[in-house]
Amino acid sequence: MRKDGEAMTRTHFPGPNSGMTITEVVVALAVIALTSMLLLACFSSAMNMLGRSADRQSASDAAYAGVQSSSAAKSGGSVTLVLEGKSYAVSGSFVTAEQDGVVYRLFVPE
Amino acid sequence: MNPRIRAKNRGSATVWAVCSMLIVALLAVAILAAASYYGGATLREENVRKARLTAHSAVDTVFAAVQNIKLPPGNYPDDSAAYAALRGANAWLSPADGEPASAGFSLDFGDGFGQLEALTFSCTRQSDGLYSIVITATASYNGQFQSRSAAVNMHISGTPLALAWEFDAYR
Repeated sequence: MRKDGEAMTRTHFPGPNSGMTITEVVVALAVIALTSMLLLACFSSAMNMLGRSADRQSASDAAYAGVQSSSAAKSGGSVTLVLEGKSYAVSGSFVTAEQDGVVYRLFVPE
Repeated sequence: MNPRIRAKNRGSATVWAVCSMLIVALLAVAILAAASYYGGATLREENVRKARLTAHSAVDTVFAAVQNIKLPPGNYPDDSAAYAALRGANAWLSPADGEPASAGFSLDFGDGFGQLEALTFSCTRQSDGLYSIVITATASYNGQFQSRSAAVNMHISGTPLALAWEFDAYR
């Protein structure tokens, strides 16, 4: 086993800049490669999430506008409101608008 | 160079690599957190809209229902007496002092709608025979709450006194 003084005097790269061994450089490059892959994966995942969110937001906007438009799909129906113990049957239309999985519903009494 | 100082430089590349890895990891976490927050905001907005549509449906439904109430038969000297009789027959009607009062209710629209959480009425006597009623519904969907109000006018007028309703505005 080498002593410190001995190790320091046997340098592969003599001179004032000889601070790194080849092992260090290889390990550092490996670490940098790993982190780059991690960053790339995260960035790719984040981009996917943002893309899906943007698509979902567009679908949500379209469906929300659709449910409030007169051209939305309607189906007749009724609901029962109980107010302070009294029942009221209210008939009307269930309006539904769907866009790419986003569904909004509204009840419009007659 | 002093060998003792150079000895301290050994391993510095690995330390720098680990530090840069930590910085990159923090950056990655920040990017993912931002993307996740944006995705969550989209879903929250959807839930807010569903809650708002439920509250809107509830206000319209309540207005449609209360338009069917009738003034109890009787000979009323003025609209205030008629309103008092109306309150006696319909407990949800609040005193005509403009103060909101909660009403007991049950209303379920079914799948795709939120949950109606609260229903309040406030009534103000504007002038002889004219009462302004504000119906406020609060609905929730997946933890998002939204309220919708509608102002309607109730007229107690004519001979004999009779009820008439008109929609004023959403608030």
